[in-house]
Order: sequence, then structure tokens, then C-alpha cells
Amino acid sequence: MGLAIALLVVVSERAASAQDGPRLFQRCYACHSLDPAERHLSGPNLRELFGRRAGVLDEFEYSLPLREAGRRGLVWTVETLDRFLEDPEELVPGVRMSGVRLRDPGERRALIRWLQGATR
Amino acid sequence: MHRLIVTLVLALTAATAAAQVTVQEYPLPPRLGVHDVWADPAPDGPVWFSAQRSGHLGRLDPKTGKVELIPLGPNSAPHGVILDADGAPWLTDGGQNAIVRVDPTTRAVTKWPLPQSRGYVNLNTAIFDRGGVHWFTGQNGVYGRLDPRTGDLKVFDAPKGRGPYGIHVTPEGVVYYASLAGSHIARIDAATDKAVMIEPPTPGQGARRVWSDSTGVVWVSEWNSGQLSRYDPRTGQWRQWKAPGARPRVYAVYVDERDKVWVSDWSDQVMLRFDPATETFESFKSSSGTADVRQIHGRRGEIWTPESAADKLVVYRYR
Repeated sequence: MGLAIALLVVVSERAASAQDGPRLFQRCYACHSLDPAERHLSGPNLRELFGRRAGVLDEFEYSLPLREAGRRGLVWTVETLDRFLEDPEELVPGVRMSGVRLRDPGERRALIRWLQGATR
Repeated sequence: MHRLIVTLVLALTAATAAAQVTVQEYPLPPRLGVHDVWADPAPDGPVWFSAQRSGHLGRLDPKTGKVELIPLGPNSAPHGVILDADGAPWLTDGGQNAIVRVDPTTRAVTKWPLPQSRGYVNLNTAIFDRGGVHWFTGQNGVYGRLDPRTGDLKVFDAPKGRGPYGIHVTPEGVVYYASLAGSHIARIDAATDKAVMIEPPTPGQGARRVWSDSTGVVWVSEWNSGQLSRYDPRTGQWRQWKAPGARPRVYAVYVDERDKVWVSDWSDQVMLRFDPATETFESFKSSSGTADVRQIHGRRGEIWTPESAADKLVVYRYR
């Protein structure tokens, strides 16, 4: 039984591997860009996201809750981004991106793995 | 709790005569992620709303304050909700990448998934034209049409790619949508289904939603510029008015039955009513510190707003 569950997890992760990143990024694409020149969208630019404190880009007008979360120490890491993508409202109550959720853990892992490279 | 109707009768005296507006607030269950709202045209009829975070269609009975939640399916995250001519709610469900209809009597849910070849389009908002065709936008750079009688569903690439957001139809039946990232509006040519781009005078203005008045003039809420703008298709002329405040952010727009224009401003967190005759704004506010009103709809004498940050539906009643 344990082996079966482990296999299912492996199959699930294979079903959404890092190569699925571009497809999964379509969930983010309307509001976020990886191109440093694109700074006009309704969400902040994601270039050099990892290691960045939340809510600190000068050119973007963040919601107060996200700025506050950054001031309290929220930094974008694999772990915090995973929690945020699962349920933004849960991690940062009042955040404007409140209704957009990526519920599947395998998809979140795949997207984050891809973003680690794509945001550099 | 959600059955409790909190009535704030704030008799807000506005600057102009006969401008008395009362505000009534209806609490919703917490953290649904209410996004859009659509009021049945019948007086005291139900008010439907999309619950993006929880994946529900909501129905409020304004007479009792009772809220009903109808689950739409796994991964549902509906953005827009509209009613068809028969009073059935239709949702643009970004989470399911599908157009969804809910039977208003049986609550049966019917889905029209978008073609897999299109991938995820980030469905946004929809409107029915006079012929009963359902037109929709996808923020990743598409617009499309669904004929409910045949199930025929077509998806088209939008000019300038990502951005298609709010959509509405004029009394003559012409469909317009706004492109937030593309900073333009577009008219859909009925003969060819092509979207014809129309650029407002302010560069990078962030046209977010559109609404037609009774004469076919198109009103646009501009997120980036903080302006309300007006496009007259007969003359091709534009006009713009900056919303009050230091740095307004105008999200939603709606034109009431008297052709007064309502917008929501996220900077001061107020509802604004614009009178085109006097070119003045009046300001109204609920008790919420932060409301984040993402859409506006109404019926005779009433303006309904979904307060996404406050878990409320709020109605502004005027005479």
C-alpha cells in the first residue's frame, strides 16, 4: 500500500514536471511577466523573485497587506511561494490576488522549480 | 451570521439636489473571494455572485439576506457572472477553463470547456448579445463566442495579446471589450468576428472594464490612469475625467438606467457616481475600510457591488 502511494506520488510529479512550467505559468501570465522590460502589468514583475522580500518593488503599487507582510519578514522562497500559490489569502489575508489558487501540489512544485530558473 | 442583514442606512447627502443614497450591506460567509455580481432585473429579485476563491456561484435573496452557495466543480475559480434572457446564471470559470451555466431552478451545472488546443486562457468576463450569443474574454489574450443553442464555441486571438478583461454590449447589439494589459478597447465586428482595436488617448491607461449607456456611448474604467473615459462610436471622439483623489485607481464601471456612470475607486475605497451632464463626481462609501469592489451591476434604483476584501454585497439605493 505504501509503495502504491509512493508510486502515485512519483507518477503525479512526473505528470507535472519542470518541463510543464511554461504551461503552468499561463496561470500567472495575464498579470505577471518574467521580462524585465514589462513593468506595466497588473501584477509585479517576477524577475529575480526568489530571495526577494514581498512587496518591495518601487515601480509596483502593492496592496497594503502584501507590503505589511514583507515588512514583517515574508521573503519569496520555494516554501513561501508554495504556500502562497496554494492559497494566497491564507498566507497574506487581504492580498488582492486572493482568488487565484493552484491547488495541485505537484503542479505547484513543477511551476516553482521552473520559475527558479526562469526568474533569474 | 450570513443570514443577518446589517442595515446601515447612511443617508449620504451628496453635493447635488435629490441625491439621497442609502447603503445596505449584506454579509457573506467569510473568504469566499466574491468577485463579480449580477442583479436579476426584477425588483427584489435574487442577486447572483461569483465566489472565485471557493469555487461557487452565490445567490443572495435581498429580502431575507439568505445566501445560497452552489459548487461549480473541482478547481473552479469563477471570475464573472451574468444572466441570460431566461434568468440563468453563466460564469466565466478561470479555474476550470470553461464556460459554466447553472440552471436557476434545478441548480444543475453545465460546462463548455474551452478547446484543449488553446490551453489555459484565464477566462474573465462575458456578455450576451441581442441574438443570444455568449461573448467572453480571456485575459491571456483571447476573446470568443459560444452559441448556447448549438454549443458552437470559437476562440480568437486578441489584438496585442494578453489583456482582454471587461466586456459589454450596446443597445444596438455591438460588443466591446477592454484590454487591461493592452490598454485599449476593441469592438467586435459582427460580420467577421474580428476585434477592431480602438486606442484611448491616454497611453498605457489600463482600460479595465467597459459599459454602454442607453445611447451606445461606451464608458471605460482606466486602472492605470485613474480616469473614467467616454468613447462615442458615432464620432470617434474620446473624453476623460480623472477620478477625485491624489492617485485614483478606477477598477469597475457601470451605467445606470438614468445614464449616470458609477465607478469603483480602489485608492480611496469609494464608489463614485459621475453625472455626464454636469461632469461632476459624487462619492459614496460603505462601512468597510477596504472594499476592493471589482465589478458593479444594477437594476432600477439600485447599484450592487461585491466587496471582495470585506466579504459583503453592498447595495446603493437611490431615488
